[in-house]
Amino acid sequence: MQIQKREIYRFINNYFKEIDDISEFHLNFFLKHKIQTIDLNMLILHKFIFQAFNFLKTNTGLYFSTFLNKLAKDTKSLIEYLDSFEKQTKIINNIFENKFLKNLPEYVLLKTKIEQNNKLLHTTSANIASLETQIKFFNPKNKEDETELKRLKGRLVDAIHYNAKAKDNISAYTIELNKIKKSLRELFFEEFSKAQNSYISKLKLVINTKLYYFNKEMWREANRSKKTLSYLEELGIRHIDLNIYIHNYLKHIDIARSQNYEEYSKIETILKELNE
Amino acid sequence: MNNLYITYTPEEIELFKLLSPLKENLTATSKLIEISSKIPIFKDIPKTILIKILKDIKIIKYQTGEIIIKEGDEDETMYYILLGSVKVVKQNKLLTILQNGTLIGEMATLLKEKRTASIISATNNTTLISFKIDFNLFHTDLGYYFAIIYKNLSIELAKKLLKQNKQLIKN
Repeated sequence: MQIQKREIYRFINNYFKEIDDISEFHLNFFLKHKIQTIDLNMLILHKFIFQAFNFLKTNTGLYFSTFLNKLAKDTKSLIEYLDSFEKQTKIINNIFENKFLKNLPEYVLLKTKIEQNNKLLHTTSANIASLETQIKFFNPKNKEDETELKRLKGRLVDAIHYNAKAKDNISAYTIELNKIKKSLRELFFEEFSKAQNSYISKLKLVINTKLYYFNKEMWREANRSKKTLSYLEELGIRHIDLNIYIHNYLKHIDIARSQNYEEYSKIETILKELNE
Repeated sequence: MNNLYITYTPEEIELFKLLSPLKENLTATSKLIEISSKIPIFKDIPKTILIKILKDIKIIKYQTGEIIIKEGDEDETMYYILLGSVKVVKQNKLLTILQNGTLIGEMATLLKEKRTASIISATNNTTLISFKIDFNLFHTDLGYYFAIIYKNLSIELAKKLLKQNKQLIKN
């Protein structure tokens, strides 16, 4: 059991290595350059932020800086990665059955043994049927025939013996296999979800921080662009930021009736915190 | 995959700093890690590792008489006194007073037992940093850093013992 436990930790360690490396790379960057991390849930706003980014680029003819374009690419890639990672790790049972158990030496060995015994069961069953038919219709006419009949009966006894043995083995190995599965399942699920939450929250911290800086720089550049400002002036807007952008967007939606009412109230809270 | 490891030029790094929130946010994870890295039990632990192994890091302020830890409670939070002092009380009997720069709550974490004494703020605005160590990561390739933490914890405990012994002799 101790070895199997170690296998779980080894598996989890390897499984989350990529997300861990990514988060570490970015967190290291923040810590090394003393860039403040942001714990606000900016992720909830990411669709609006990118929508605004595209809107400003397409409609106002604004050329964003290399820095902002880089930050956009960086943040977007991280969000896409988080999204695919969350999808990939959603059904823990699949990972347990198809990735973990399939690579667990003891489990693989038992599976192979069951397969081998299944083959043996199949062959011996076919042999039994064939021998039984041969014996049934065998009509010994001389001593040689009687010896042959004896030989056939001997082969039948052997086939029955190996057939029964294969059945016993399959049942014993299946019990053992299920025992391993049952004993590891709970621990695997517990440890896997803990690791999953921990790695996801670290990556979310990275994304929230990047989104915060991306959002701030985007509006800073927009408010410095003559083209953008004159476009906005025509709409009667003198200064633009995420707050104004979202409120203008939400004006067209009956929030109270919307199914996403709860999400909009969360957005309101974050926007309030962003403005503080 | 390359887009997941984008790097920035020194000029762009300066831009990040310019965009930082004006108010220094003491609850920002990076700030809390910066403060935690000064705690003696995390000596020689890189900040990038601390960010992985510490959970629920908070800065909390207490006023005189407020209970920080209640005897008998089950909780694995550790505290480090940043400012002020606290009283250690067991069954209504004052055991000792701890000053800033002291780690508290490590016994329950190490022994996985209930709190052995109550900790009460002895000053106004006693400021503590509270955190939990994710010991589940001990089994990962971070094991080496846990060995350092255990070593540092032993040193801190030995120092506490020595101090208590000296006090006993005095009394």
